[in-house]
Amino acid sequence: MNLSAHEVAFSYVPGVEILTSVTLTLSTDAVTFILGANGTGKTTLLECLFGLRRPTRGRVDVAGRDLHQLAPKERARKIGLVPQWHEPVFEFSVRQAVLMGRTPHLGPFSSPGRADQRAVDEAMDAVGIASLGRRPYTRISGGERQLALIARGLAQGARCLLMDEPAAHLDPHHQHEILEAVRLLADDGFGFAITSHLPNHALLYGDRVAFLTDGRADLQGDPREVVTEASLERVYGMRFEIVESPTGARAVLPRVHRRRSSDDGALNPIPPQSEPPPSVATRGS
Amino acid sequence: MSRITFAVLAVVLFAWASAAQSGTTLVDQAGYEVSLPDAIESIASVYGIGTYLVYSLGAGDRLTTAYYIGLKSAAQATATMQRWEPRLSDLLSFGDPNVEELVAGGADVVLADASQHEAVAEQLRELGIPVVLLSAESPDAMKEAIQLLATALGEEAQRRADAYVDAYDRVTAAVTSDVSSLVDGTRVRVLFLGTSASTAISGDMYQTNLIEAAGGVSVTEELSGGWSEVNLEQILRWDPDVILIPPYGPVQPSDLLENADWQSLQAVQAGRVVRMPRLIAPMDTPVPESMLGVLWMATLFYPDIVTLDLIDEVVAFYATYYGLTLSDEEIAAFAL
Amino acid sequence: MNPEKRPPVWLIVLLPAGVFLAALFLGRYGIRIGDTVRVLLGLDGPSDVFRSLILRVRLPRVLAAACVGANLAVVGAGFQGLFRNPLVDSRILGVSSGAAFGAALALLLTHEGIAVQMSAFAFAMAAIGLVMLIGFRFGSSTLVLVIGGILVGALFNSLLGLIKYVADPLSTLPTITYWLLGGLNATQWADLPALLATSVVGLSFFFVLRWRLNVLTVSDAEATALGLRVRFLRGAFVVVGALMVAASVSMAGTIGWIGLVVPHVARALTGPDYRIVVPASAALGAGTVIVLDTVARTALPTEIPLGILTGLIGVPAFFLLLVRFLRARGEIR
Repeated sequence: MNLSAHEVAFSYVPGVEILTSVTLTLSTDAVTFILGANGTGKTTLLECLFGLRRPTRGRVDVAGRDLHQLAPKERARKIGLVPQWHEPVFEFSVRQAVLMGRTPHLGPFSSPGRADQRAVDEAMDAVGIASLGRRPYTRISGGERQLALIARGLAQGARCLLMDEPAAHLDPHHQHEILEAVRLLADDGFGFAITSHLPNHALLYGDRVAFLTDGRADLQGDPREVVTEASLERVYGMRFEIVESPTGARAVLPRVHRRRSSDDGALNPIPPQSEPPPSVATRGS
Repeated sequence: MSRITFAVLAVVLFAWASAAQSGTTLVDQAGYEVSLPDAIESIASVYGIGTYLVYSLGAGDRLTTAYYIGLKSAAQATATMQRWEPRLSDLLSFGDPNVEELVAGGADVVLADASQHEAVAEQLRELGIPVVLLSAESPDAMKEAIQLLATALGEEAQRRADAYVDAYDRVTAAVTSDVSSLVDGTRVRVLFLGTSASTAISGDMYQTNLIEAAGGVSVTEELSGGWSEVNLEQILRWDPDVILIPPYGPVQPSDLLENADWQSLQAVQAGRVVRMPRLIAPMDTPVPESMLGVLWMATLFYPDIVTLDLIDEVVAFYATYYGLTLSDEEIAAFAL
Repeated sequence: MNPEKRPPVWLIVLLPAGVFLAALFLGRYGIRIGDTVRVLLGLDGPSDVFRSLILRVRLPRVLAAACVGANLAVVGAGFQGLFRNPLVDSRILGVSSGAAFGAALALLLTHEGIAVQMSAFAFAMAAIGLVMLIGFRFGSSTLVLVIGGILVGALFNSLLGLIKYVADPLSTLPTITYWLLGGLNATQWADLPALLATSVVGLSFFFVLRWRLNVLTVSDAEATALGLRVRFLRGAFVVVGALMVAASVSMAGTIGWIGLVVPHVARALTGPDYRIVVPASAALGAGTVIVLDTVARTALPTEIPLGILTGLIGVPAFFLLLVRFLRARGEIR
């Protein structure tokens, strides 16, 4: 099942387009990272992808059909949203939170039943939080919360999950925990679209990367090919260097150096075009 | 200077001095000393009860603006009142007194409510306008008020005031003497409702005075604090002999007599649910009509004991104090 | 606290039933329990006065108290979730203010009991209509609805002030004041069918859709992603809730705190899941108002205004809940 955007444009205010023409396909079994500078419309794109916002031009298809021709319930059975963390009003249990994912499967006047509880069990097992069921949703770690939200998406029956900056507010261990779980699920046939500010995650965990610049996603493809020093400089407006570890993993580092003359410890980023960098120790290229 | 010249001068001086001091001074019911001009040509009354006192004293034609108790518009007044006071819609006013308006009206004296208008009175005094604060909230206070007013309004008014006080005392004395023969257990028990069937008077209200003067007992005597909310269950517990409805508000005897929930009450079963009649001012408030209120109640409660003739007194009252000759219909409203 | 704990079902069902029955036995007019039971069972024996008193005076009133309590509590619970704010009362959308104005207007013009109720109801719905219009024009986010409610409420409060000014201080003004303080002492059987119908429809609506209330407490974006038509659903809850509040207020005057405090008590007992909180709030709300109304009509020869009792109980109860809440969050010791 594919979720794809075809020449999607969107503006909040008439005349000011955030997205001008975005064409992007998310397939199940792949993890796609959507990267871009602040304010370039990553969240807006996500909202168009699950139908909260209607594109002003272009369309979004899911499994070959126009997203907006489906009823909200049908959409919800195919696409799930894993939002950023926000403080909830009431302290539901983890289980109750995941159970909300069964809403698109309920009749107009029903509440969840046994079949729904079983689906919740499966979803919680799939991300490994089965033991957390009765705990209040607010009393678990940030990482566990994200896993619970992923489980909710799975409980929806969605094959495609959209995640909005899942690594924000998480420590490195939990960041890894989440993205590792995402990777495993992708291998099981789920598709993920993840907006992020961390190119390193794209390199470590992503199957595809799309850079969102000037309202378009022209730069997309395999991370190794797309994430280059040139593309990063174009997207983020500063210089980076890509380093490779002995195990073959790649990482992105901002290019900074220490000026010898001012020994105050200030780190000055190297301006984009001017003097060549002085001797900075690099490993690999 | 010759002695005769001196004597003439002295007399002239004395006469001039006393003339300069003429005009009335009285102490109003809030304790303030008020100097009033000799002849009062125009009166502004922001005290709804005071207005009726002015009318009873025959000075109604001197009113320039007036508050009327229970009236916000001429349309609300009884038919009798509308025909008797043709200037009603011009005179009628209500609400918080507007000091500038009163000053602009140029009245010789302002009558105000001692319990509400202290601040307004202060302002008027500073502007040099005589203001008389009245508080006619009990029979004695009302009699005092009417006599007080009369001293400022001329001889005719004073005559009427005295006549009224005499009449009031006469009527109440007659009623008191009539009902004095009643034994405690035989007194009529009365429930006096308000503007809804679940509202009743409390013991500290004027109506309670009237009921007791008429030889009755108010079942809501122990309540206090103005109009009280009661419920049907409590009314059933009291089970009064008579239910009275005030001469204002929407409640009619049929509302209770025809209501299935009220049938258990003896007053309803005996048909003793009566609404007070009203020609001009409501008889259950401290206006001169309250004298009739006492007599009407007593006649209702003890028709065989009361010696005075209600209709005679009613006709005489409206003739004397309002200059009104009653039609047959108006008289019939008081028939019991 | 375990968010999934729940008290036995018997508590929820039997509590209001028990309170209801007990209330029928109490009143200013002393009636022996035996007689009351005989009247309720339709047996011979008790006098007509007793029968009339139990069936025509106490029964409709206790029934009305139950409906009013259940309505206000459930609407309060629902709105707390809909507006994602635990401090919301059923009065938030200006419905009560509209009803107060409507009642005062009718009292000013006619005094007829039925006209007062109808006018109160009509203006309550007018108030919510205005709020919905504002929402429609400016996008029905929770913020817009709340602000709209505040504005509409303020508007009707001002108009109410105007009516009070014009009202005759001898008779009309005290009646209006008493109406605003709240009370069920004028309840008659004729008033019950409309109130019962509204309560049954409204409570069923909230009950049947109680799971949706859970889902609506998360953000609009998530609720949409979970397949709900958020604006439509929110609008429906608001309208039905307003109906319930309007019917209750036109009957009982403006009483507060039930919608705010009762749901929190329910959540303290059962956790935040609306599948339980909705029926629990209905039961607790009904029970609370029945108890308070019984006190109102029995403690003194005169009626104690119901609004005063709900305030006197509601404020300290809310304070205790607040302390508990802050302690649980570790913000105070």
